[in-house]
Amino acid sequence: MEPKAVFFLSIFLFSLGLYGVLSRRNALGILISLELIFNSANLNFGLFSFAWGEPSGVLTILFGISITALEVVVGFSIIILLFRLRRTSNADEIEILKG
Amino acid sequence: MKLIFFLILVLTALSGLMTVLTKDLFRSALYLGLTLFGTGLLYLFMGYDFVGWTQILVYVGGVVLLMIFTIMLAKESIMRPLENTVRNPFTTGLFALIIFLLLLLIGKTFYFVPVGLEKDVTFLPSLIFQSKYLIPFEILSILLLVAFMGAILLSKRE
Repeated sequence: MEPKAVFFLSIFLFSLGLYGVLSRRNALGILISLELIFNSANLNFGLFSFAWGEPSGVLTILFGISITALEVVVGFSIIILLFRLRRTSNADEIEILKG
Repeated sequence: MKLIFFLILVLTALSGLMTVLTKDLFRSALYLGLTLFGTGLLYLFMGYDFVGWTQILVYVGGVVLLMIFTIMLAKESIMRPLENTVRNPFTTGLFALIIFLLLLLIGKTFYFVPVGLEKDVTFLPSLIFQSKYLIPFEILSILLLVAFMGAILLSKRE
């Protein structure tokens, strides 16, 4: 168990997620990349909990997992709704809020 | 054991890379499942049994399954798969690289002494039920209920 290596993995996953969120055009793809960011944050909580002997980080992972499940459920239902309305899941073409 | 650990690390990093690089969204979701599974295994390596299995059950079993269902529902037709084109890959890639290097620089200042905790199944129940975290935990369950009801209401056909 090498904490440093896990930390590198965590920031690597965060950068990948950032790249995905910024570069993907599809709303589903953006949400998938967002999951990577959440996952890396959770991994960091667990890692620092392990490295510094602080048990509340583990609890934060549980909270994070639940919140992420919520976010995915609501986000995907909104995307399905938009898909039914506009027949597209491309984030550039969805401009209902534009005045 | 060390070899298995580094194997899991490399596997997780590679599948995370494939998640953002694959054109096909369906495969992207499957690679995401592999990444989350690898992270769950890392939790197991740290000694967090409950959190690790929760991660595998909830994420890989629930969230990725939901994603795959959504992608299948939103697929326009078999002939015309979902386009998943990338916008400004070089600019955004450079930006992500800069953020990565910055985080690397910050990470150099941390000290990592693996103190380690006892197995989380021994301290999690007391941490939740005998401390100030009980109220947030209960509020979280209400939030889950409300969000699931809202999602059903949103995606229900009239």
